[in-house]
Amino acid sequence: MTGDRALLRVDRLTKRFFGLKALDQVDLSIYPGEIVGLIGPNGSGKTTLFNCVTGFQPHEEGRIFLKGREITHFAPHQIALAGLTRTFQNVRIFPRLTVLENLLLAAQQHQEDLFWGRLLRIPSVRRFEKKARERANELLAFVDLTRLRDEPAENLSYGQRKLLCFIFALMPDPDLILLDEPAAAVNPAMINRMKEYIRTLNGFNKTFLVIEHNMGVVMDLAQRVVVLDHGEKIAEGKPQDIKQNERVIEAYFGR
Amino acid sequence: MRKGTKGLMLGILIVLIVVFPLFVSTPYFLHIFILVGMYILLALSYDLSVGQVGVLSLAHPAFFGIGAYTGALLAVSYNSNPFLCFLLGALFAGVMAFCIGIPCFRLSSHSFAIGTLGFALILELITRNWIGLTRGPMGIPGIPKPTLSIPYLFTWRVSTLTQFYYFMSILVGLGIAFYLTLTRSRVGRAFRAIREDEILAASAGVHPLKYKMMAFVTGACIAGVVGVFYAYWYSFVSPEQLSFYFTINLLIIVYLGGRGSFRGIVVGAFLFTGLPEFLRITPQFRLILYGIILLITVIYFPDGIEHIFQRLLEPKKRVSAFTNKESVS
Repeated sequence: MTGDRALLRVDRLTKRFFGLKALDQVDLSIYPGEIVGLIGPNGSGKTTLFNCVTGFQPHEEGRIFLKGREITHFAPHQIALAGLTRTFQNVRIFPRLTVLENLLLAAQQHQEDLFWGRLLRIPSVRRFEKKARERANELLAFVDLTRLRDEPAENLSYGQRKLLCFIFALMPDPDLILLDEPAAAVNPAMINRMKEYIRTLNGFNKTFLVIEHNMGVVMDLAQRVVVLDHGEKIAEGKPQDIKQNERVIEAYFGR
Repeated sequence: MRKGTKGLMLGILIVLIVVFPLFVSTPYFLHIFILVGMYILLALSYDLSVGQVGVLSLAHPAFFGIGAYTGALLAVSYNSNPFLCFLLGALFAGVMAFCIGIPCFRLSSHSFAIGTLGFALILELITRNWIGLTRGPMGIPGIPKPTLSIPYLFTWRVSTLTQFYYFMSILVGLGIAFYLTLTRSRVGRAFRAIREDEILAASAGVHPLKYKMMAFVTGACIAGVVGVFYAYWYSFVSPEQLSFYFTINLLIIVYLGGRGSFRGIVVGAFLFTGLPEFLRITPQFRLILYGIILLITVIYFPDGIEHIFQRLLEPKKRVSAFTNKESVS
C-alpha cells in the first residue's frame, strides 16, 4: 500500500468469538490530523476493534496498516513502538508507581534497546531520561497534575487517573491515539477539560480515534464519525449527517 | 546531609562486618553468618522474579544446585580456576533458566509455578540417578578450597572459616549493589510495571516476556554463583541441596520480608536463617512452623516486614501494599 495517505488503514477486519461475528469485514481509514469518532450501541464491537488494532486480541481476517506499514498480527508492544497508543476503558495505571514513574515508563521503550546501557546509565540513557522527564513535566503541567507528580498513582482520584491515562498514551509522542471513552464517568467540568485537551492537541496535529457514548462530546469533537452495529460498519460521515442517518437511528432506538 | 549520614552508616556497617570475626568466640556464629549471607543473596535473586516482575517460580534452588554441581565437578575433575568455576556456574544456571523459561512462560501464572516446580523435581531426580556424572546420592566430596588469584596482583587462598566469611561478605556486597542498581534502573521500573499491569505495560511498548525472562535468568545466574560458593565452602555437594525444602525457605524469606522490598528481604534472611539455628527447633516442627508463618504472612500481612518499616519510618506516607490482591497470583 505505498502512496497511501492514511495514517491507519484497517482492511476488512473480521473477528469471531465462537462463531459469533464481533467484527464483520470492517474497513476504516484515518488520515493525519483528524479526530474520528467511533460510536455504536453497547456490544457493537467498538472496543473489540480497538483491541484487534492494538494487538491485544487476535483477529481472523483482514489486514492493518499504520503509516503504510503492515502491522497485522504484531504484538501489542510492537504496535506501541510503531507509533500507535491507546487508553483503556477501565482506567488502567500502575498503582504503586508514582505519577512521574508511570509517565517515564510510557516513554522508556521508545528508544534504542540497550540493556547494559540502561543498567549502567551511560550518558545517552541519561540524556534520554532527562528529555523524558521534561516531556512528562510538560504534559503534567498541560493537564494540571504537576503537584501530584511524586504521588503513587493509586492515591489519585478517578478523574485524575483518567487524565494520567490520557497523558500516559501521549507520552511517547505517538502518531495516532485511540481513546476508549475519555469522557465516561467523569463530571461535566472534567468532560469539558478533556474536550479542550483533545482539541488543543489536535491543533498540534495529533490524530485521534475516539470511542464515546456521550453524543454531545462526539458531535462536538469529531470531524468524522464511524458507526458500528453488531460488528458491521453501518454508517460513516460528518456528525450532522450521522444524526439524520436512518440506519443509525434504527440501531440505537429500534425500528 | 542525608547522603552524608547514609555514607557514614554504610562505613560503620563495613567496619562492623570486617571486625566481627575478631570478637566471635565460637566458629559456629561465623558459620551462621555465612549461611545468612547465602540466603540474602538467594532471596534477593529470587525476589527478582517473585517480587519484582511478579512471577512465582519454584525452581530457584535448582539453579543454586546447578551452580553447586557445576562448580564441584569442574573443581574436582579439572581443578579449574575458581573464577572460571564461578563464571560457568552462573552461565549454566542462566542458560538452564532460559531454556525452561521458554516453555514455562507460555503458561499462565499459576501453571508457571507448577511448571518450574516440575523442572526442579526433574533436576533433583537427575542428580540422584545420573550416577556416572553426579555419583548420585553419594554426592561429590573433596572439593578443593579455592585459590583466587589474579597474576601479579594478588593471590588469596580461601580455606579457613574466617576467610570464607570475608569472601561471602564481598559476594553479598556485590550482590546487593547489583540488586539495587538493577531495581532502581529503568529495567527495574519495567519489572515493576509488568508486575502491576502486564497489559498496560505492553500498551506502553514494554515487552512483558522479555523482561520476565530477564529477571528470571538474572536471578538464576546469581543463584548459580551462590551455588558455586556453597560447593567450595562445604567441599561437598549432594542432591539434598536441590530439594524443595530450600524453595520453602526462600519463599518464607521473600514473603515475610515483603516482596520487592530490599530491606525487608535482608531482615527476613537474618530472621529465618539465624533464628532457627539459634533456637534449635527440631527439624520436624520447623517445617510445620514455617508453613504456618507463611500462611499467616500471606493472608494478614501481605507486605511483610516492609510494612513494619513503613509504619516506623514513614508513618504518614504509607505507600505500597499488596492489598489489591493481584500481584503474584
